[in-house]
Amino acid sequence: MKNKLLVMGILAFVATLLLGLGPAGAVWLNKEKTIEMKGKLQTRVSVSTEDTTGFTYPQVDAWEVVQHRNIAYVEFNHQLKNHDWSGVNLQYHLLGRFMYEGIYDYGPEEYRNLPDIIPAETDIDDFRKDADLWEGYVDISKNKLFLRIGRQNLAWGETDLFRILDNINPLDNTYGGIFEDLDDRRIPLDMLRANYDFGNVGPIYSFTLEGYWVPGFIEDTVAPWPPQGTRYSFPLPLTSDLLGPTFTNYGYELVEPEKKMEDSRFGIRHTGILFDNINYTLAFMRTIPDVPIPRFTADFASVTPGVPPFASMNRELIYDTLDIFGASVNFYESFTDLVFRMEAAFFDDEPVFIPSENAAPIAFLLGGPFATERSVPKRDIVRYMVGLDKFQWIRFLNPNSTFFISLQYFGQYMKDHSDDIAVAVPLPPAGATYPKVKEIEHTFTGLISSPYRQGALEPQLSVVYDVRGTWMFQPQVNFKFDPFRLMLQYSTISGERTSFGHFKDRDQLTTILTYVF
Amino acid sequence: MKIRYFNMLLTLFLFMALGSASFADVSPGDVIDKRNWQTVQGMVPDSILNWVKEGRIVLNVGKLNYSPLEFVKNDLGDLYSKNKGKYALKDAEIVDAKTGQIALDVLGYPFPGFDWKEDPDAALKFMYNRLYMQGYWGNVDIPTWQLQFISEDKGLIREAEASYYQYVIDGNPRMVGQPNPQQLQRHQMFKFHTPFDIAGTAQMSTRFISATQQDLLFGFLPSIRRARRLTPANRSDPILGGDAVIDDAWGYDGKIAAFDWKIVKEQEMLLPYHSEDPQLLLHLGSGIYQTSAKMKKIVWGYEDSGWSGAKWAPLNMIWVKRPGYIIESKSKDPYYNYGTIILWIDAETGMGMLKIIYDRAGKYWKTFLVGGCDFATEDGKKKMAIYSLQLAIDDRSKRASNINGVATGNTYTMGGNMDPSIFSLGGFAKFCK
Repeated sequence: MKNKLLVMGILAFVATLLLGLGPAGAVWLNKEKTIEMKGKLQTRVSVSTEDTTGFTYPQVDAWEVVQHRNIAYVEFNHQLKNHDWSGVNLQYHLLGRFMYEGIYDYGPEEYRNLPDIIPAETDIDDFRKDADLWEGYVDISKNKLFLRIGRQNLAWGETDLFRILDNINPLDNTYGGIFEDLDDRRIPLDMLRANYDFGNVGPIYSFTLEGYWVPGFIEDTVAPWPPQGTRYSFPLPLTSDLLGPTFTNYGYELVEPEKKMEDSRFGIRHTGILFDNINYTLAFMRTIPDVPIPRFTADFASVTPGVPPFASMNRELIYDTLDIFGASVNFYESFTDLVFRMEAAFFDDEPVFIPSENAAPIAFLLGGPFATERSVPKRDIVRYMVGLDKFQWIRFLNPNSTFFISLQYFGQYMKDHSDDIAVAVPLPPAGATYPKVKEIEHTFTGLISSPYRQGALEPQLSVVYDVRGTWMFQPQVNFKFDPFRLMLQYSTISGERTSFGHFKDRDQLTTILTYVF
Repeated sequence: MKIRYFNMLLTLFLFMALGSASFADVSPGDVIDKRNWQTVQGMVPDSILNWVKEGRIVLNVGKLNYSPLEFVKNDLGDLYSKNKGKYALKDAEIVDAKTGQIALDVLGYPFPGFDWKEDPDAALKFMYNRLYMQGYWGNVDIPTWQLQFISEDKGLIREAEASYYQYVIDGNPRMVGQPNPQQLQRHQMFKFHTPFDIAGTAQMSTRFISATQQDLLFGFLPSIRRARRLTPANRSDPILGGDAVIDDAWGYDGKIAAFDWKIVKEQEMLLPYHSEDPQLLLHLGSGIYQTSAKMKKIVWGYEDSGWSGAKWAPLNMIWVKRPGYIIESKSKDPYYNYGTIILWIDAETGMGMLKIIYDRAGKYWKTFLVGGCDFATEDGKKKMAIYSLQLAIDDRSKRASNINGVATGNTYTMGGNMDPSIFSLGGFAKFCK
């Protein structure tokens, strides 16, 4: 029965595609052209290009299908009040999202048999299928005041790929992680957003104040934790990997904010332009980081070397609020024809991972000190970015269009750093050690792209380099042949198991076919 | 006596033959195709002549049942000629003729009545007149326009729809006397609505009157969900990767001072026009005018199954004999992707235009057509000389891009009030996803 439904669904999808051939465009639902409907249907297939290694579960071989994600977006926009420059403008936006990941039903055996591996607490259905009102908000504006109320995304800052001030909406890293476009991963939040344009204030042009509030008693969505067994989960060892086969795998508990006012997220920023060129932002926000910090707890009954002294051990993954103070600036420099972008932010008391503190029971069993105190250490961290964008003619490669080149340097400085601060992903094969976090970390990113054939063909190359020896390359080609879009992408990570290097065994080829209407 | 008379006749004959632009002549009603292309030799640029020779387009010669010059004069009123002697040029900028300071609140033609043969700045003045005539229309509100990509043999292959808003400060009669400490010329914003994958892509720019100050440019990209600072200098980059570049809009949308201009010839030429009759202009009250969405529809080659020429060809436009200038222009930007550009442009209105584009090596590359299209209210009291067709044809790739703005189904509203706060960082957010 399930297979029949699946086949019918595929046939319906194909029929829709064939019937819709021709230039893509929205559908107006009324003759006044105030209500439009548009959307996209997308199927995405990823094939691993190498065997998984280390603690990745499940272990899959090269050339296995590791993802078949199907997604549909249907969007409605309704201008409630006719376009009026002087009065109140009112419109609403609805975006429905439907998702189905097929590998848990018809993928490799390793994915079909996941319940044998993953903790019982995990409901794989959350990662198999979903239907949601993904975005839904009302825009109200009059003169200088703008309000957007409802489920929405909001991005601040100047960075691409990695986030500093762009930390408002959580990210869903469960289906592609760093391989996936940032915006495709954002999870909308129920939010009240407002901005007010003060116009020219002294020497400042376009003086704007913007704020948002995610009411804690309504909205408690955090970044989902990809459970072990899903393709893009962190490579965490099973307890039996660490302590021997007699130890059964212990589960984990997500400690998420409760729906209460005190867990509200909010932020405020001021932007403006100085000297008709320098665009700056000053911002503060309270947010919840995407990656929860682990804390292992155990009920110690007695202490006997070689024998687990506790009846049970629990891994908590704690989501907690974090305050960020930051600033950014961008300006255009005409002599070099470059746009410069800079951003810096202070992360106040950010939870960090120290094995002997966060993972005390594990550390003890592996020969470390005994400690029953549960704690999550915290540090102040400064993250910063310097970037530049350039539209460069390389005519022998493309005589019709410039190449967009974007380079960024990301740095991170940790105050009160100590040598035992680590990334909470243990290193194979033993799992007894963790990659260190340095007092100052450095990462570089680069991107280059250019359109060909009236924009119907666009190749792109992204590169990321962590100076501790980790590389990511992501070449891709985008094709447009209305109403379809086709993307072919290869993602590869190599080098050290630090930062994004923990996913170095997830190299993959991805094909994405999209129908837009 | 007979020999003297014969010499006089010969001289007269030679004078007429050499003095005329060409040996060709056409009349309204003539259809120029590959059989009789010679009749328009010299009246159209070679690129268009070749299209006709090759059977890719046909020119329907027509006659306007009105005077476009009268439309310009009606629109500008006494500002058509009032500013004579008031302004001058200094380093390609308009300055007050008395003080030498940058001129603000320029209304109407800043340089009426120049003599192109005597004045080395004639072309610059002509282009500024054209610019300020458009500025005199005031703010522009186009809720929907389309960018169409057309293959010469396959037809319409892709289309995107957007909205466009322009807030004019310099040259707008509603803004005279308003403080303008930053010496802004205008704000512009456009946002794409379809297709889904680019929906939400928007761009906001601010132009300064100063010739040397670059535009302030921000783009909103849905893929990054934020406004991004863009470089204002790459104006020869294609719009959405198509055949028209950013500067091609309206024929030329860059800073006048960014180019060197020279009128090389004045002659009669065939220029494309939307229709022999003016199209309907609606008066919305308070000096706000709107082009009717029910204007004559242009039929494209890809819409006519019986048409065997280029699919991008506009089949039912007329080609009208008009007094024109041939202007040679070149960007001062050494990285600009176009080489020399030759304009065949309506000398009376500056609207109908054929823009012949050569590459940096001097080889012919593209032609951009701007079709004149004039509008009048039903009572005839208000007349405006605008344009409709904006079609870029890349003769190398055999493709075209059509900026379908003033067209059937779309409206172009001019002169209305507009909230300037939308052209700010905060206001830009209202248009972004």
